[in-house]
Amino acid sequence: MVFSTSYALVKWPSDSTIEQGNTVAKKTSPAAQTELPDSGSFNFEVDNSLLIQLGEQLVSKSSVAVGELIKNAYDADAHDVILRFKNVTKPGGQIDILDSGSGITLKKLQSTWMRIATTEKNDNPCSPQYGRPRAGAKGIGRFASHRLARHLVLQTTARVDSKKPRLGIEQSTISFDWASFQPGKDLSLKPVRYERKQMPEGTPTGTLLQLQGVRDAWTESDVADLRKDVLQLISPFARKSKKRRGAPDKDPGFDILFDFDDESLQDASGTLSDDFLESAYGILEGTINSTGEARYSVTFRDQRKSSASFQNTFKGPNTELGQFKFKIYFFVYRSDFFKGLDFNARAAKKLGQEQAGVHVNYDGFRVPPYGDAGDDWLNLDADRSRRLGVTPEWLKGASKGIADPMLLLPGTNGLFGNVQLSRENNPQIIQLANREGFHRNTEFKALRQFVRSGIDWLTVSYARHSSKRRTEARKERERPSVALEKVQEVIKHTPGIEDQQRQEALQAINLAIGSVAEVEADHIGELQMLRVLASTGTMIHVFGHQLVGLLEGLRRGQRQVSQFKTYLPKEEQKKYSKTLSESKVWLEHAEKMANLVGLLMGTKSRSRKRRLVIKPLATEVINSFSGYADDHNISVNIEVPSTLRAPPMFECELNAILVNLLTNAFKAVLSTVERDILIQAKKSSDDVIVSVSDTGKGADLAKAESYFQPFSGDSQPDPVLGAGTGLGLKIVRDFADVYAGTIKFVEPLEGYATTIQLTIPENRLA
Amino acid sequence: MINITMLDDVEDDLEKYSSDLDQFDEITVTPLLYAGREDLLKQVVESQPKLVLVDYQLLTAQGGALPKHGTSVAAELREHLSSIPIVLMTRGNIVHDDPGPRLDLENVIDGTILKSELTANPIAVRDRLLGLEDIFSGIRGLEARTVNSVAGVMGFTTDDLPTLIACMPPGTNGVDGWRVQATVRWIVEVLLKYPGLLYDSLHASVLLGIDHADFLSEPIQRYFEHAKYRGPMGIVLERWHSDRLHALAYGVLKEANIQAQPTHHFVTAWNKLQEHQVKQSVCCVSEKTPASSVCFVLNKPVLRMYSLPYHPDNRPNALDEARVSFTAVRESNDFDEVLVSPDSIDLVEGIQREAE
Repeated sequence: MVFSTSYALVKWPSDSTIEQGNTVAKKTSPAAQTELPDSGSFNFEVDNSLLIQLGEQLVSKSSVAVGELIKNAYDADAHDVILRFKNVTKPGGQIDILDSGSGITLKKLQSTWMRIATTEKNDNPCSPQYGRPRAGAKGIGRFASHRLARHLVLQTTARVDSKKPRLGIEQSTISFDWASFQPGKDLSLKPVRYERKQMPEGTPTGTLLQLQGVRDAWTESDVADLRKDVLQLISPFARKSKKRRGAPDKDPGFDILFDFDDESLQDASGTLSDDFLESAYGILEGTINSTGEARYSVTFRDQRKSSASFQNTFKGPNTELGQFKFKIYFFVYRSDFFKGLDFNARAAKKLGQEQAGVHVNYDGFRVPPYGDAGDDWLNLDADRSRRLGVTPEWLKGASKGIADPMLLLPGTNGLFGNVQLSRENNPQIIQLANREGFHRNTEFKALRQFVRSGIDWLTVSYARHSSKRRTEARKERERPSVALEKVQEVIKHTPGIEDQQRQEALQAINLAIGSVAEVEADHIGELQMLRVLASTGTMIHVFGHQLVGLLEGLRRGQRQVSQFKTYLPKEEQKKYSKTLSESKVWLEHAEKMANLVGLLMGTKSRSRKRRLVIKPLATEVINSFSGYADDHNISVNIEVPSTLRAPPMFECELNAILVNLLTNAFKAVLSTVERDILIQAKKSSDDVIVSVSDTGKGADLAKAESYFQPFSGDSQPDPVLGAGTGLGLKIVRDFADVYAGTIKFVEPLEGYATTIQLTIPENRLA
Repeated sequence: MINITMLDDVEDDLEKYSSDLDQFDEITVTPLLYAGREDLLKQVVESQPKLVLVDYQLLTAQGGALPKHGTSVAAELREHLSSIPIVLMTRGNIVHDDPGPRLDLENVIDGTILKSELTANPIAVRDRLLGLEDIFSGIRGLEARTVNSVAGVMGFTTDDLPTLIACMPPGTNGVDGWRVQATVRWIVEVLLKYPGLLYDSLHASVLLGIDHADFLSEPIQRYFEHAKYRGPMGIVLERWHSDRLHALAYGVLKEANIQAQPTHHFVTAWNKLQEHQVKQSVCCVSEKTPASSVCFVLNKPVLRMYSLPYHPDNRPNALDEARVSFTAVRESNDFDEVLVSPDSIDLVEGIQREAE
């Protein structure tokens, strides 16, 4: 960042050098009158204490006060402002605020700065040169100065009339000794001295505020608050080039340089935009050298010293591309990534929304619209919105072992960057006649591809890096049983505990370790189960969707063959009739299977707990498997009263129970010649009992409990029903637990080898 | 012949589904691939469609096209094509499972067709699309959309006007000034959908107390020919004017010299006069006759005394109320107890408890 405004310290002017100003017209104060005539007129008067009151009430903290003065600089079309803090960690120090703005003429100082509650900011809501929406609160500046320090010297350099350059440049200096504004006296009667002088042409405009005799000591926290307050004003890394509507000139952007001489605050020295960029999660750099070799490197914040590098191997149109480079700061707006920084994720994100983008500089000049708000020349936002997540072919190797890394592709609001090009090295990249962008020729497309590929590679690197972070974070989280073991060790070696008490404590912890370990084991098992189930759910959704497409294809084929058949001789038609009727049966089977997906996954089945009639649900589940049952000569009977209802539960839960029990029975009967299954349900006092019996080889009641453990199933793999997840009965038991019910193998019904019985109390409030 | 413009993002699908409809003499299909063409909307408009079919999932992003849902594209189209039907094509029950698009449907879409339905039964889909086009065309052709003019197109009489006015959406004073699409929606979603002014065959049979199959028999159909609805969509949606059914039924009763309500005595009168004998409608709960209502859940005749008022939709009070049979209350999971009147909840619990 280059600060173009010259910086010269202003000495506190002595009374002798300041001439009497013309700001006060002497008159007799009405207060001096001892008596009032019977008729006459009054004037409002303002007491000096107004300055104190407004200063304290409007500006609560020193950081807010300085923030307001910085905002005034922004409103004055400055492109940078320098803040020098001298000995401010204790009262009495000095703060200098110098900006490169348009300055204020003496005339304007008189009519605005010296006049409380003018309508200036209301009348002109945007700055005159760049059209910036005013950031400062109205008229707070002078009170902020009073709030901050005992003395203020305001020195401002401005063109006398911006429309008449021949009138030249003037510099005005005014000093305020706030202690002299004593309460009880009329504010308008206190003269404020000024001096004005003509400056040579070429003198930079701007304003310097010297706040001498700082009232409050500054702490690190005050500095952090200040930086946070003014963060939104800055334009990091690349300057804006967009011209606001109605503004005469393009806004070059704004930055703030902090300079602290107090040792405890020195860490906060430097430009705010540089500090902000340092809080980036990663920095991506890319170069194409003179031989056309392309390289990327990325450095993540927590491993600054060990940057990774990668040589791009993609071939293509970039062969014509000359030497150039880019640098992109990558932000992830997550609160945990901003811990310990002056800026929080929300403030950074807001800045990102307003200022982020990858800009292009051509021979040192910014080329719009690349990187402007709303511009997506690298197709980042478009690709993010599609959430396609397809990893480019050339990154397949780099992304090995990471699931869907491209879903983490950053949007334009997460990237602050700049591509630096020169006409000399890239003569094939040609600016449009209106200077708004480049011709979209092969070279420009290659440039875009190179930058975009770098961001793609950054995305994969970030995915790997964040995955590593997560793994490390997980490792850091200690298991409770291990923590208890550590406590045990501490108790063993802590002196001053009686032996008996120590033994009792150790024994109690031992017991706790035992139970905690048991719970941990359960949790690990359940976690595994959930992972499997979650994956299965996704898979079934995809399967269901694909199945619908397949069914359509089948129906279409069947219809076309039917139509075709009518053109054939009658004898030939018979052959096709058989094929058609067979395909109709297959289609019906497939439709029933598709229906099964809906039973478990449909949104309606998960919308509300209801007292469901069991029979129609059981019938529907059986029908879904009717093709399978027919193919394997399995007879499924149902003995359920048509009005029997289950206690309130989700439809998908009851379906899942029935599907699991039924598929287990299907598998069981395959090993026998007699293949009968019976589903029964009844009401017994306050319980609803559902049982499924089968003529399979029979469950061993002695070890029946083990069948409910996850992944403990011993069913034979079935070509249609699958090998089994080992979770079916565990899931049914979990559902039973939720509804305070039980599930167990019971003495089989006469004529059957196995009967499993689910009991759910009817009146339990679920 | 009507021109249908079909918009899909998958070329194969576009070819398949457009040929499913193109096979019919009444339809010619203009297929348009949704593939990043900037002038796509213009092309749709310029194809001068009488109906537009839009695929719900335009997500393949071919040719750099922004992935969109068909409802969004339909909303854009609606700005240019305000008075022709825009119908969504979708696979499976995506639209019904997703509340987002369902909200969009309220204002943008005039109907949905399932792709599977188009494949399995293109004739039914053709009829629905033709019916929709027919009604749009009828309403579009009106010089002024007033209650009277809509009543005229629909074949209603001045006797129907009070009910017609009572059925209008809240906040509207008359049909006058309605857009074509809003008027069509009112007709399709209210007048043709809910029994009251127009009856489907089941409700018509129950009104006459006659068995549904017998109502559809040729002699009965011939007798009630003049009660048949002939307005827009009448070619694909069989409906009968309730007042004309009544009037014709009274004619039979009068001829048979029976002074009574048609529901209870039409069958007796008819059988007395005609060789073609018909049966009375049978209650699905008690098997008693004649059933005078229709169970909304089971879609079967039911005696009023074996049913409860049911509120499955927001049909206007001026039309017939929906009812649910005790059998559905006892045995069906499609019955939802939250849709009965608060004063019937105890009765519902009683019916279910008694059954168990």
